[in-house]
Amino acid sequence: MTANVATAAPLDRLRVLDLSGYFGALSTRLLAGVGADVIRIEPPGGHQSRRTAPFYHGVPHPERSLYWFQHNAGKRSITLNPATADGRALFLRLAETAAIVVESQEVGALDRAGAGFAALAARNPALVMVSISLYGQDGPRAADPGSDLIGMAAGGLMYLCGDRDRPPVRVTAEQANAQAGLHGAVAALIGLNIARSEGAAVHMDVSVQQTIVTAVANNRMLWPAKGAITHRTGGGRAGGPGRRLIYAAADGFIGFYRRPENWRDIQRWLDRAGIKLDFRVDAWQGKPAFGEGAPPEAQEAQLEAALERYFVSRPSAALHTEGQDFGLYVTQASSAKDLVESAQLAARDFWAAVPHPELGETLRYPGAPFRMSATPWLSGPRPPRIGEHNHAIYAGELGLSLADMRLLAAVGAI
Amino acid sequence: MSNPRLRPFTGLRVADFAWVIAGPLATQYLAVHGAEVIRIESRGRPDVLRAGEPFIGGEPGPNTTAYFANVNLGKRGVTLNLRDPRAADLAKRLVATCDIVTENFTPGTMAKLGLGYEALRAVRPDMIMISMGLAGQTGPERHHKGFGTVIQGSAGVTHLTGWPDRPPVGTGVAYTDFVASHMAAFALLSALEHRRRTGEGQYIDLSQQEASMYVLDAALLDYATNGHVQSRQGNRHPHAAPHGAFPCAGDDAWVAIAVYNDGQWQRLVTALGRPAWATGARFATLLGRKEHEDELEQLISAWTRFRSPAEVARVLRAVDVPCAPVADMRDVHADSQLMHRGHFLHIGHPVQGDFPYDALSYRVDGATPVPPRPAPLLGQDNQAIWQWLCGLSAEEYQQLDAEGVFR
Repeated sequence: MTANVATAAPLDRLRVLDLSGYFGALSTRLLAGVGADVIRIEPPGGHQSRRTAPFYHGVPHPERSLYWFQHNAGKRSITLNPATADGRALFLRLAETAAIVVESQEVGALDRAGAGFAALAARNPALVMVSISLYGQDGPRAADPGSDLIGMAAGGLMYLCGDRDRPPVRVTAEQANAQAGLHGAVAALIGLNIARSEGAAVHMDVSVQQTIVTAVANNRMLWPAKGAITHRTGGGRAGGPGRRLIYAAADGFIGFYRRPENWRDIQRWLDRAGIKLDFRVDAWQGKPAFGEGAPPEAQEAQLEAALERYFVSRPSAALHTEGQDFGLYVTQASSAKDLVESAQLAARDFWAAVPHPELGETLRYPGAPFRMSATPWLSGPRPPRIGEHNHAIYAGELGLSLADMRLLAAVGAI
Repeated sequence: MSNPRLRPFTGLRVADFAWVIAGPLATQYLAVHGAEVIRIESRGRPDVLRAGEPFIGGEPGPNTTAYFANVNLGKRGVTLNLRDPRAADLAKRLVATCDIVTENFTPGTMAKLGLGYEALRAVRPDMIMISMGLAGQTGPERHHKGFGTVIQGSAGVTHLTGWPDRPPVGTGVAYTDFVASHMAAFALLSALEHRRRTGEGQYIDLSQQEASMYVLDAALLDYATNGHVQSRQGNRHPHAAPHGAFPCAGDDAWVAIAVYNDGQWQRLVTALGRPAWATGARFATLLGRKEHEDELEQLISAWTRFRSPAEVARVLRAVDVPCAPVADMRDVHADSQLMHRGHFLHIGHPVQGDFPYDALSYRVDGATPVPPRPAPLLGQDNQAIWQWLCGLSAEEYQQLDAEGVFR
């Protein structure tokens, strides 16, 4: 199912102004992927995430941040400071040309600059504004400072994550930022539908804390249901001892999730691997792996020890394939290297080649997050350089003269 | 309570064959905003979540599970025994009335049932269909299956979660369900936009693994361009220190503190009462704090250890240092901000009563979107959908029902 490249992308020609920080950069990346004309509005000197590691060949430089690359491919860039009078005037003019504004500035900052929702809606009565902040735009916590770590903590996910004898942990790739991006992207397109049906501008106010609470729902609900608080269990599901998921392989780790329908297939796997126990686990078919009605503890412990010995003797990729071939829920705990070298991803032609002429190289980016049969996903072009499209937008669209642009640059407006 | 303003999808109909979390959570967005989303289940193989804790308002059963109810808000529900030879025809009658079809069975299952994309497009040409396999519909691993608990492994999340000196731990939840669901919702909304412009439907092949690889920040680019394999770093952050969870007074009580710049560091030092260790040169710079981070964490812990998470948060928030208690599930329910936002929806459920479900993460012009109805009881809309929507006569419906087709 490859898309016909001649077909326009779903959001072709739909303009998005991108004032996101770390929250929301993924939202606008996804919007660019489905064809929106996303204009990154950077402060003069460049966006802060251009200084975020890692860097191309390890050399820190605002045009070499791989973090920036990942989240900004397919976008254009202009520099603009909406806190200056001239910057604000230009921003308001641009907002008239946009369908969506995505922002994650400090709560209230755009209002104070005269460029908040009310000001934008007055200029563009069909506009969707998506504001993403840690706690939302109002309420007792709204003004408190936030970050990925704080979102993971305040939303309850961090408490469920980690080894019991160590502090709770976050994910080293930033998941509060990621959830902000995902929810923000959905909110943008829902907002588009609301604005259209309503014939009015609409303000979508995303709380990152709430995005994280959504992800802990089954644990959360145990509190009002029965006053239970779930704790982290290391390599297991939160919520109880024995709900183990992670096992060591010869070269790494695998995840193995067992359900009552799996015992027969586990027996087949044991037989194939030549593992003999003095009981048969296919007799347990239909029994839960843990808790009430589970198989005898001593026998389960024997099985556990036999699996451990077998797993640690085999490569994780082989266990993934074997386990899945037996119909079991087994996966490799893949590193980036495993993924880049994955035969499945290669067979699906997942990776996208994005030329970076300034680096003299074509980089391999993650490709489409979903395949649409009639419309393309846009993996490129390469992320914009700082203010790369100032001339196209300010001179080409808004009609500024070169002299005006020089003047505005000198006063820090663009 | 209800706010028709926020229901732009009124008139849109969805045949929702998808189950567990990743599919249902995607279509829940459409249901909350007005679409008629019809869950198609079977009594022989009910949704896995129908057996999931917690059970509210009675013995464990398909209608007492809040786990299911929480991700199917606003939907309708029918049952259909897809193994019955007459089921495919009935399913097609339903799909003929629908704009969107979703499924996340093991790839090939729908085609085997006679309900593949081509078959369904024949009855509804402008229909949008999404399939959400673990590894997608093609490739050597297309038959693979799993849940978010282990897809987080094949998507690269597990490897990046935990301590550098320990095995990875993963997130403790079915994490990729909460990624793939949003990618699916976004894909469906994009496809609707394309259909609005051109009248054309389409097929979407979403691999939960591929979709979930979008939450790895630059880990993939870092390996592809630099040959560097990123690994889990506990709570450490390359540009920030201190940055982590610190022990507090109480049982398994923790507070998260993140210091990204010198200003935040200076304000933290002031909040600590300017102890001698903190005011010297050792920790004055980021480089110094990173070099002595173990020691720094011990010193911060010595201060947090005798205070509650709430007290530490109060003191540090007052000086604008990023900080929050590491909320457990009781804390989440007592959170004044979440209450202010109306996060816990009390919309009533015929069996579960007034149990708090999760609202969507956003407000619209200050209003919390409220689903038009609670989640469906198993098969509750059979008569309405099969008879009135799909046009079976009363006799046909009763006959088929008696023969177990709607089981």
